[in-house]
Amino acid sequence: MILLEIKNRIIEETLLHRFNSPKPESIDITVADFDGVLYHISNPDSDKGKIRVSISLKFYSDLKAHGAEELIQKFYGDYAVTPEDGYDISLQFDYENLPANKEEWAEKAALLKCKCFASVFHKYFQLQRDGKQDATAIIHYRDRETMYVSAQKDRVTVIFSTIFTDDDDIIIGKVFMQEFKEGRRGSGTAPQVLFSHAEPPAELQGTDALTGQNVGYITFVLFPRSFKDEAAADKTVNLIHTFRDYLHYHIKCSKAYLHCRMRVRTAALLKILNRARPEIKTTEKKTISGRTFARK
Amino acid sequence: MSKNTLSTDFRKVDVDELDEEKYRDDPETSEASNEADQVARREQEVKRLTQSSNNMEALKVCLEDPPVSTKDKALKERNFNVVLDVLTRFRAADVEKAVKSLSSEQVDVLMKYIYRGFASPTENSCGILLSWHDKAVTAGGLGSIVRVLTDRKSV
Amino acid sequence: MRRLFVKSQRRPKMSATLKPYLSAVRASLTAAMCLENFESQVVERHNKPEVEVKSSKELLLTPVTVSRNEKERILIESSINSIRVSIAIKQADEIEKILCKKFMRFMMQRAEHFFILRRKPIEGYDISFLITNFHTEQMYKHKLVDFVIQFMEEIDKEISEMKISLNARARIVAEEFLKNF
Repeated sequence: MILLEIKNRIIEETLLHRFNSPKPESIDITVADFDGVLYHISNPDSDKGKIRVSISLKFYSDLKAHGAEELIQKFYGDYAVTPEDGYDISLQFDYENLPANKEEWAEKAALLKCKCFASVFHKYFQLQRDGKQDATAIIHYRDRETMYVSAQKDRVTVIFSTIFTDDDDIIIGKVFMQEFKEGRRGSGTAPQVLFSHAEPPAELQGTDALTGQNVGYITFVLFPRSFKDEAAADKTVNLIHTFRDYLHYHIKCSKAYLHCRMRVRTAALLKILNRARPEIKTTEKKTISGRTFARK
Repeated sequence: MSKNTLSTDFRKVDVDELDEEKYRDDPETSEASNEADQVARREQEVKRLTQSSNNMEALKVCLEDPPVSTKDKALKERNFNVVLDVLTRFRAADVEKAVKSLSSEQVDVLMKYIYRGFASPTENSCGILLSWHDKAVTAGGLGSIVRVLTDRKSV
Repeated sequence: MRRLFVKSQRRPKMSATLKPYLSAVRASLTAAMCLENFESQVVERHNKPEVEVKSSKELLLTPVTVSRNEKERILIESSINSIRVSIAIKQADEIEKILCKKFMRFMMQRAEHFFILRRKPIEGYDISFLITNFHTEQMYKHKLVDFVIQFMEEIDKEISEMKISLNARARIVAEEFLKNF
């Protein structure tokens, strides 16, 4: 699995299971997702006939300013209901009155987080198409990590700031980013990727962007071809909003892999060292009557 | 009680110092001025020999009477640079022949210089020293390394 | 094409100085590994590696270094009942540096399995071995030397392989992501 799934599989499978079960069951589970997102699936007012999926995002207020609510309303239609207490968005399904295409709706519900992010991107894509400009959108998608989206005349730039908690992660991260920078050569349609370490890029000068040894900034320059139609735009959004998690996920995978290698190599070296011990000879000796005994 | 017993000075006497079996390094003789002259003379001699590209003789001159008794680091450094210069002048193919022509004492001294060179590695000295080391071990055996390890008189 | 390139990198050309370096190390180690049981002169019924406690100058030998270049070198400190071998491993860039750091840390945390591994390297080196007379009594000396030599070879190889695989992974990850746009 190289690319991360954009939908939340737990949500999808749980919902599908409930949709298909012969009789309504009670449910109450809380699921975590990337970027501190929490999902809650429950029966509102202990009514087994209804299933409610709620999502809580710490940065929902940032998204709301860029039309998240409208997009959710449009995408989920009547299933979007008044949010549960402590959560930002809620979807509600009625067991007696399930949508005809259950699979599709289970998947749609699992895309909740992705759709929240999508609003910002779609807004700025539209601004660019119309040739308009607006203040840079600032989404604090994690504590101390921020995403900036802005539309220029001929492109949309998305900048991620990310924190590497481990010093070694910075160095491994740099290797990855170097490849991202160069990776564009392999694919004509890929956006340009820029990376700056410790200092924010020029676009963010004068903002509250963090500086420091463990901070990295990744800039995606999206030209109109990346969002020329609905399908392309969706694809772009789906990829780009998982970028931060994708990067960190693979840094961790690399570390795990290196660790495995070290383990193997260390075991091999130990074997070599153990060869230095003289083997205790266990010669079998026979008595005159033909019986054997092992010398201890 | 006499007043003297109140004195605690005796506790501070390091009795180990007075132990006859206490180990001491051989006292270094001070012939510093003498050795300085020697090094200077050798420098001249080696220069003369290398100019006439008589590397073999130059090597032998280098390995005579190393300045082991002086404490002057700069002097040793200067002397070592003369030796290293001679060692680098040899072509790789000639090293073996050169080592073979040395007496076992000279090989021991050479070994000391080689390890000294390793202790302060430079850009290109290591490769040359490694090939000298290889040949010196072939000629002098492990014994010459052991003598470097055990000898306290550094070059 | 690119894959071919990676493959050819995987077998680094045996550098001209590696062989003489290792043989010089082998000779020096063999010469130095001449140990006998020796009980402490200071504390009764103590038996400590003298190279560590340095209780008396007469028990210590001159430490020697063998260097391949400025960065790669090995320090052999010997004493009557123990030798300490410290290795400095080449670290060309910051990736090799962290790989080396991680790897050495990993090994040193398992020092009890490695009998002769010191839990901490001495300053200026990446890893140290402490070989005492008890080790040489239980194990073949020449095989212990073999081990140190092989260790040096393998570590170099492993670090460069890890670096290559890290780069390859980064490239695949980046390509896969960008391909999907």
